[in-house]
Amino acid sequence: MTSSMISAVPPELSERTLSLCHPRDVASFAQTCRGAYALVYQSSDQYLWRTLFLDYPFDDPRLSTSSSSISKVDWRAKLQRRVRAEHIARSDGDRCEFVEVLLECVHEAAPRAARESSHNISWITTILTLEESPWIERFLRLGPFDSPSIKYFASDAEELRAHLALSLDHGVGTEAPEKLRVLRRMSRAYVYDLRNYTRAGNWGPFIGAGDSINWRHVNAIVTVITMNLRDFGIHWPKEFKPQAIVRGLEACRAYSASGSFKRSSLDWAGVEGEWMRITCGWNPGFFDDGYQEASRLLLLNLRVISVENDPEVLEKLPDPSRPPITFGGTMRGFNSDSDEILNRVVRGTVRLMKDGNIRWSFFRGVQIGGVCSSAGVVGAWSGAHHGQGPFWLFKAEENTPKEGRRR
Amino acid sequence: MVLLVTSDNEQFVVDKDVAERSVLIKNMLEDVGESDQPIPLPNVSSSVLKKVLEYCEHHRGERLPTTDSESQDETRKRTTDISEWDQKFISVDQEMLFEIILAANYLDIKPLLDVGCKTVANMIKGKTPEEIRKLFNIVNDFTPEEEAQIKKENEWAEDR
Repeated sequence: MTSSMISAVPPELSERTLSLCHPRDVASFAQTCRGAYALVYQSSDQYLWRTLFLDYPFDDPRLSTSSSSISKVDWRAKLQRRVRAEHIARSDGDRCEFVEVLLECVHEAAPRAARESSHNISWITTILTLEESPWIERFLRLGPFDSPSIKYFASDAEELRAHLALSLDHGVGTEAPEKLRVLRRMSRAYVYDLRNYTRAGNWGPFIGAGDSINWRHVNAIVTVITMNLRDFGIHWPKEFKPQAIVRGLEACRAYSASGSFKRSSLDWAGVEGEWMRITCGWNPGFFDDGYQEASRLLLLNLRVISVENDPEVLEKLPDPSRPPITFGGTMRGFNSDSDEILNRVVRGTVRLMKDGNIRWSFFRGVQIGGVCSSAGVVGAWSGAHHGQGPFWLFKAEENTPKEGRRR
Repeated sequence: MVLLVTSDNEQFVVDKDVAERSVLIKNMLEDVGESDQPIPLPNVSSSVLKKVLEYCEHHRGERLPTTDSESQDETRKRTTDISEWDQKFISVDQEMLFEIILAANYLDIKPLLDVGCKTVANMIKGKTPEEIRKLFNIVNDFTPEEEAQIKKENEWAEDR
């Protein structure tokens, strides 16, 4: 036997000591001898890895509302992937894995009720803004994913970007302004191309008969609206902007939308209340204000009409505690309530998709982030005579004026 | 006053509030009530107890950590957070360091146990496996094949 003092310490004390170390140091320790290896990798429970994970710190995935993390947590695998992702950020490596890990981290961010700020979100923000990273800003945040060779990577990367809503990219620097211009041009081309609105895509940002989300489309919508609002500058006050643009990833957290805690128990999606909706359109003359592309703010008041309760239907749902909700309400223009086209009654449904995302019909949109996120719903509108365009629907913050100047 | 007897039969007379930094001693005193009976500590030598009592003396009167696990977790979080006095106190040779950890564990003095564990954690920080072996006098008992396999398993942590 060795004369080492450290091996004379009972395992629970070694574990206690290791739980105070960085996971990388734990890995180094595990490589010193058989006893150390057994302690780190062959323990009968995951106490050490759970402690390392939560103290890192990351949000407890068991608190998350995302359905994928309900099953038993493999703390060790999860932590190892995230530590590895830091390495990939700093140098380079498997970019697909990197984006996967970050998305998982977004989906597992603690709901707003559990924590004031989310460890996951601050971790993601830190590694996405690492200055020494040779590829993240140039490629992941601002590069166009138009090469067929990165098709698999692209969908996840577009999903991540849709959640970021350019909140890390203000177009400062030598390359960034031009890269943003290119992204905007490509996004507009995508969003206003009628060929991207098909029956298979449910006339919105969907694929596979509407069963899953076309993140390229969603991200294009986010990019178009975000860049349009930047053009308006201070003339479009921030209380009329989607929170994702103002607060970045924090807005993606479950229950971060205004009034989420006053919901009635049946209204799991946070339907009821005042909403704002920004719509953009391209058809010249539609908004008769001289812009080729115009943006308009609408106000909605929504309420729950009914909640699915047929046991046979509930049985087939991905999550019976979140049955489809039928809602109704009114929608009108923000600056005038005499606009015939826009003062109308709306009716639609909100439902949980098989992949855990939340889909809003009538609006043909997708919830960005967790349930009741303040980031809101992004999608496509179309009118019989007015072509199509992107929209962004989000809960109005409390105390926001609900009336514009009358014309 | 409390009378403590070490493994090597040395006797220590200490103030009750100093001795009660140890939850073990505190519970014993509560069990036996007011009495002049000596308290035997068969797992602690006099040289280690002297050191431990120095710590208890310095921290006497401080609020003991509650059993509330939440607040304990908070204090455990940052590895490098050791107060200046504690750092000086724990600057001892490795044998004494581990003896203090074992004694703190046996006597149930959580804050001292934390200081000890944090110190060891800080010693490991940033070191390669070979450097850790040297530091703690650990003998590498892996076969070359095992070592290669284990190195591979730990690739997730490589950052060089």
